[in-house]
Order: sequence, then structure tokens, then C-alpha cells
Amino acid sequence: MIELFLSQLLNGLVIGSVYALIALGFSLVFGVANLINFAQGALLMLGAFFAFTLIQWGLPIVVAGLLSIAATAAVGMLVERLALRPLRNAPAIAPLLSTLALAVIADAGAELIWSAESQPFPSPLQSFVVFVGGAFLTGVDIATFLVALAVMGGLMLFLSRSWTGRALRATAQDPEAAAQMGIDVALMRQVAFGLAGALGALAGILVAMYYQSVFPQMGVPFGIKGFAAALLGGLASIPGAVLGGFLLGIFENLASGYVGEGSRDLIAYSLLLLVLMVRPQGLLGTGRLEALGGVAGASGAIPTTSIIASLGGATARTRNRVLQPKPWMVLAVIALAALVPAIGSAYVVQVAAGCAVFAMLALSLTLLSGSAGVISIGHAALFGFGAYVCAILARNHGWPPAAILPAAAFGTAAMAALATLPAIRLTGHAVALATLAVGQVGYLLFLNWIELTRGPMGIAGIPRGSLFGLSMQPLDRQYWLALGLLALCYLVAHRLLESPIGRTWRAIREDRPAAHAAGVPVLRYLVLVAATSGLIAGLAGAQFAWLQAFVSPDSFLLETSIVLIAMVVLGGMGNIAGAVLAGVLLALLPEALRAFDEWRMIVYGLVLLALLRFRPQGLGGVK
Amino acid sequence: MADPFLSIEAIDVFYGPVQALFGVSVTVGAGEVVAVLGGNASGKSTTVKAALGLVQPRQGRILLEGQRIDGLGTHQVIARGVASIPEGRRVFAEMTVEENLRLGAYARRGDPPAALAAALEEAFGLFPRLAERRRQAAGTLSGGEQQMLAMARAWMRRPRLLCIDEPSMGLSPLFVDHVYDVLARWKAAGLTILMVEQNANMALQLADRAYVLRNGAIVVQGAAAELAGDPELRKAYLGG
Ligand SMILES: Nc1ncnc2c1ncn2[C@@H]1O[C@H](COP(=O)(O)OP(=O)(O)O)[C@@H](O)[C@H]1O
Ligand SMILES: [Mg+2]
Repeated sequence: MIELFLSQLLNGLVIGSVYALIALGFSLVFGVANLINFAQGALLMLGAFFAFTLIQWGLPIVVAGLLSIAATAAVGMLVERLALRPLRNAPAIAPLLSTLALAVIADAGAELIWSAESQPFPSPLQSFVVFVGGAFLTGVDIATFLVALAVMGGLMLFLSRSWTGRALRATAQDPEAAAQMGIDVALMRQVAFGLAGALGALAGILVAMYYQSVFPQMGVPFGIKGFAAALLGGLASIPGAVLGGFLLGIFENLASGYVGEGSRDLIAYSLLLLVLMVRPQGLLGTGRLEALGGVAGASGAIPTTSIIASLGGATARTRNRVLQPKPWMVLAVIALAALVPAIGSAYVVQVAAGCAVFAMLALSLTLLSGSAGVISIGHAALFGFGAYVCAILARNHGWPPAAILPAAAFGTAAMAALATLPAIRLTGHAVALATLAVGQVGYLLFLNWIELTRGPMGIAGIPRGSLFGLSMQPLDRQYWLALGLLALCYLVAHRLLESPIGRTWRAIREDRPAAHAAGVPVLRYLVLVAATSGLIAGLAGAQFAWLQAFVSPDSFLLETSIVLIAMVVLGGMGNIAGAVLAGVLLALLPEALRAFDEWRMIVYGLVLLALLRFRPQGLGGVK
Repeated sequence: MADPFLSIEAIDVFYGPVQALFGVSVTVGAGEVVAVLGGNASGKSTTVKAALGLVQPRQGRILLEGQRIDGLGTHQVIARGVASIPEGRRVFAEMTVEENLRLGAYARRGDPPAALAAALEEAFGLFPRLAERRRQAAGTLSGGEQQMLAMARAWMRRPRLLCIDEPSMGLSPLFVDHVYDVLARWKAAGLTILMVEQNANMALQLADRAYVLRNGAIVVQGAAAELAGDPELRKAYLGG
């Protein structure tokens, strides 16, 4: 018993020291640039792969590691150049989503270069073992711990003693005052990103040695955990990042030791959500939560989620012309689309039905993230929830579509209201993070709750049943049902947005403190928008399950959430007609790129990046 | 008269679509103390921010020792021998008094460490209250002590031009006197100063010349001694 405890504690300290390194990268960038760098995980992954390649070329592991750290630091600086510097005056979410886009491009690029499979990473000290009581440590464990401690100590010294270190801290506290000391603030931001890259690479190499493997998908989980650690300690606090890393590592290992290995990530993400809900300033944090709003948030007391306000200056050259067709025009287009089965093959109808599903999803997300300003990077979990509700009720319980549709719609609405609760009190970047964690928790549940979801195998053979006495088996009818649902959702969304409710959502997005001060029950309105958004996502999910006749966790990966965000930005935040258009366009993209499927996510990432930079108001204009 | 040390020539400054300065010209000769006066929101801070490169003029030029500095970043302006005491002090609240002072010398980071250590001791000699609190976080100091710290921090730069924005703002009379005592000593030592003040009485006692801003334009300028009795000055403050 005590052996298990001791061994999990030691393991926790080792992996916790790695989390602390990642957390330090987050904290530095957050402090100096006021940005949650979603590319931190990608930097970790790239660092591990650079070292992997150099070792394959025959370099000794230490040399390969040092070279990789230098190269990744350069990549970190490049992230600053691409995602932050050109967007200083853009809406606060633009740099955030840009780092996300860069992460997507890096992950997909790594799959292209190094293959999607896991590959063995050399770990020379693995066979060296030391016993501590009943537990044991390998040489890799000891090396990891010592290297991490040494680097943390060195970083602390650097920050407190060197000119550059002090300048970094000064920039984090007050960039305008720092500039008046003669500090090149833009350079300091770049240095912070470079350090984050170096720390990420080191963490990546240590992780690769620890697990003796490298794989392109390793960035996301370690990125989120590093972030959870940083948040746990207090986002902008350097000692807090270290403390948070160790705490998370120990906690997670005890959990996996006593509850089971499958629960490790679930517990880490749940802890993140809990901290966000209960003590968002972290254990050692000060009142810097307000700075979570992002680049524009540092100066003001409370950051704005406004899209319009920040559009005024930076994008004045490209005017915000809003596409807002009359509802009957949209219905007419949908009615025209209903003619597709008459002229197209079954393949074309299948693709068109997929477009309708994604149009609904984009519509659903643009209500939440566009109209109400609650940026969500976990929407795929709601989509998946609706799909699993349909799959389980139809296949295991034989429910007919007429019962499944309301069950999926209202079930997902309730789920959405619940899932948005952790995010709802937060603003700016913290919201994005909370929703990311919610999305990952959803995915992990789909994957691990095997009795219910059949896990990675998925649920096949979902019956389509019959609606109003009409068999829904033929594909054409599924397509028409999808169009009907889309039209219905569009009308509901349109009505809501034109009503006082929609105006209140936009008012909350533009100036939440003012809405509070004016007596608006902000939380109730946000729960309402989450539920509405969830309702539409649930319908889309059910429709998706019938269309594919198969659901599995793979359809609800982080990638899907990111594609949805790209659709919302492309359509113009809060613009439902734009969202529908963008949903169709981006759902068609993979069909157009069929021959280059592995390039698909890179193209999505580039589209998102280019939009944020050159046309943040999207195709349809921000509403 | 020789070339002025600092010369702001007919600048227009905008914040987004709003114009804050209209053709403002201010010169500061070497060794001179020049005050820019005016009521609230008249554009005083914007003038000194333009000189420091914190805002960029859309029209006009700014020269330091005959060289254009408009378009340069703030750190580049500071590197040319300028120091700033910002409006509202802006000390680094989470750092110690000593670290704040070291940051003041950031632009001199190439100097030998011994020179910097000596400068630090001189600063503590100048402001003994700070010496007592050298390991204390700057955020825990009183407003007057923070103003001392902001002054000492700028002094660590060893500037040839010092820009000051409202040194007396929010201070008790005792501290105001102390601030002006120190400034008078620096003036006597030959330091060139551009200062911005609402408190015209104090500023005109110290300054050689002064400008008065109203709604972003200069309405009066002249020798400080003459301006003290000028009715235009009263009007600038009273009539918005
Ligand atoms: N950051 C800013 N954004 C927009 N307007 C500003 C900003 N700073 C100052 N202003 C405006 O410019 C004008 C001059 O301001 P300022 O130079 O600060 O005046 P003073 O220092 O004389 O009180 C005021 O009308 C003020 O509202
Ligand atoms: Mg002012």
C-alpha cells in the first residue's frame, strides 16, 4: 500500500517537474505578452521531433537536445512574429486563435514529415534503476528531475539577476513604464516566446525519453497539462508555475494509481476546470485575472470580448460590410438545395447532407462565440453528445426519430448549459481554455466510457427509423431532413438575434461590466445562449449519426472544434448567414482536397491564420 | 540662440479618429527648464508622450540635438540620453525599491558594475526614505514615496534631458515642496528638463520658460516670470 503511494509520489514529482517547465513557458508568455499561447504544446512536440531527427542522424543525445532547444526557441520567436506582432491592434481573440491555427499547422505538418505513428525515442538511462524504499526510480527519472530543477533554478536566477530577466519582468508588470526605462518591449515579447520555445523543447525531449516515444499528437495533452499547472499556481506567477507543475504531477499520478490509468487525463482536465471555477487566480496568483482578456485587456480594468470595438482601428481599411439576407432568401436557397437529389449522384447527396450538418454546427457556434462572445474551442463535444444520444437511443433502445430529435436537442441543450458553467464567469482567453478542457473531457468520455459508447470501436448500424410513417432509410430523405432542420434552426436563430434577447447577447459581448451595471442578469443570458447553441448542435449531432449510421470518438476530436471555429471566423463572428455559408464552404473543402487529405488540417490552419490577419470580419461581416 | 536641445515642431497627434494636438511647437534649450501648463485634458501628457515616442505625430517633426526622433521607438529615444518620470509614477509594484532603481539604469547596462553600484548609493543618499525601504516591494510605498522612487529611478539614467509628467499630482503639500526642492537642485546642476504640470504656481517658480496649452493648441508662451501674471493663463485654466 505504502509502496504504491511512494512510487506514485515519486513518479508525480518527476512528471510534475516536466509540467512545471511547460507551465513556465506559458507563464512567461502570458506575463509579458498577455496571451495564452496555444502553440506551447506544438513547440513541445516539435522540440521532441527535432531531437529525434538529429539523433537519427547520429548525433549524441545531449548535442541533439541542445540543438533542438535552440531551433525550437527560434520557432517560438516565429510564433510571436506571425501570431502576435501583426495583430497588436486586432480583436483580443485574434492572437489567441492565431496561435491555435499555428498549432494546428505544426501538428499536421509533423504528421506529414514524421508520420502519424508513434516512434521509439532512445532513452539511454532507462536500465539504470535506484530503489527508494519499496519504490524505484530509473536513470531517466532522475535525469529528468535534476535537469528540470537545474533549469528552473537557472531561470529564476536569470529573471532576478540579469538585465534581460529584470526587463522581462518589468515588461510583464507595466510595458509602457518599461519602455520609458529604455526597454525594447517588442524585443522582450520575442524573448519570452523564445524562452517558451526552449522550455517547451526541453520538456518535449524529457517527455519523449520518459515515455520512450515521440508522436505528433503529443503536443495537445502536454500543452493542456502545462497550462493547467500554470493556472493552478497563478498564471503570471513564476513560482506558482513550478508549484502548480509539481502539484498536478503528484495529483495525477496518485489518481492514476488508485483510480486507474485511463482516468489520468480526465482527472487532470477536471482539475483544470475546477480551478477555473473556484479560484481562477490560482494558488499563488494575484488579481491578474483581469489580464486574461488578452492583448487589449492589459490596460483596461476588465477586458472586452468586443469584436466590433477593436475592429474600429486596425481594420478600418477593410470596412465591415455586413451580409444579412432576409430570412426568405436563405429559405429560398435551402429550397433550391433540396433539388440536389434530382440532379446529383448519391455521392453528391451525401456530401450535400454533410454540408447541411456543418452549416448547422457553424450556426450553433456563431451564436455562442460570435453573438455572445463566449469563445468555445470544445464545441465538438456537444456535437458528439447529440450524436451519441441518437446512436444509443436508436440502436440500443429502438427509439424512433420523432422521439430522438427532441431528446438529442434538449439533452444537448442541458449539457451545453452545464458544460458552459465553468467558462461563463470568465472572460477572454480563460474562456477559450475552459472550453478546450470541456471539449477534451467530452472526447475522453466518448473514448473511455466503453460500456456506453463502445469506446474507440464506435457504434455501428444506427437505424434511421421512420418519421410520420415514412421510412427515413433512403439517403434523399435524410438529406431533406437535414435541410429541414437547418431551415428551422436558422429561423429560430434569426428570430432570437433580432429580438431583445439577441440584442442583450451582443451587449454582453461588447461590454459585460456595463451590462452587469445596467442590471442585466448576465449569467442567465449566457446560459440561455449556451443552451440554444447546444440545442442546434444536438440536432446536428443526431442528424450526423443517422447519415453516417456510425459514430466514433474520432469525429469529435479537437480538430473538429477548430474547424468549427474557423467556420465561425470565416462567416463573420455572430453572422448566421455567414456561418451557414462558411459551414458549407469549409465542409466542401475536404472533398475538394480529397487527393491531399493529409494537407486538410494545414489548409484549415492557413485559412484561419490568413483570415485573422487580413479579414477578421470574415466573409459575411461581424454582426 | 544655439540649436535647441529638444525641438517639437508643429505636431498633430491623433488617438484613433480624435485629434489631441494641433500644430504644437515646443523647444527646450540645453540647460533650460521648460514647463508645459494647461487644464485637464488639454494635451499636456500627449505632448511629452510624443517627445518620448510613446505616441507618433501624424504631422510635424521632433528633433533631439538636431536629429529627427519622431518615428523612433521609446527605447531608442531613451537610449539617446532621455529619462522619464511618467504620469502617475508607474513604479514596478511587484519589484523591490532597489530593483526599480536598477531598471532605471537599464539604458546604462553597458557601464561598469561599480559605477552602477555607486549611482545606486547616490540615489539612496538623495532620497534616504528609499534607502530604508530598499528591499520592500514598490507597491507597498505611499504615493509620496512612490514619487520619490520614480524620480530616483529616472535619475539613475543620468539623463541629459528629463521629461516629467505632473510630478505634484495627488501629493500632500509637504511632498510637493520636497519634489520641487529636488528638481531645483537638478536644475542648478545643469540638467535640461521638460515638465508638464497642472500646478502652474509651483511650475512657474522653477521653470525658465513656459507654454500654455488649451484644447490641444498652444495659446500663450513666454518667460516664466512674465507668464505668472498673464490673464491668458487664468483663462486657459478656467475657460475650457
Ligand atoms: N489613450 C488615449 N486614447 C484616446 N484618447 C486619449 C488618450 N489619451 C488621451 N486622450 C485624449 O487626448 C486629449 C488630451 O489628453 P492628455 O494629453 O492626456 O491631457 P492632459 O495630460 O493635459 O490631461 C484628451 O481629450 C484625452 O481624452
Ligand atoms: Mg496628463
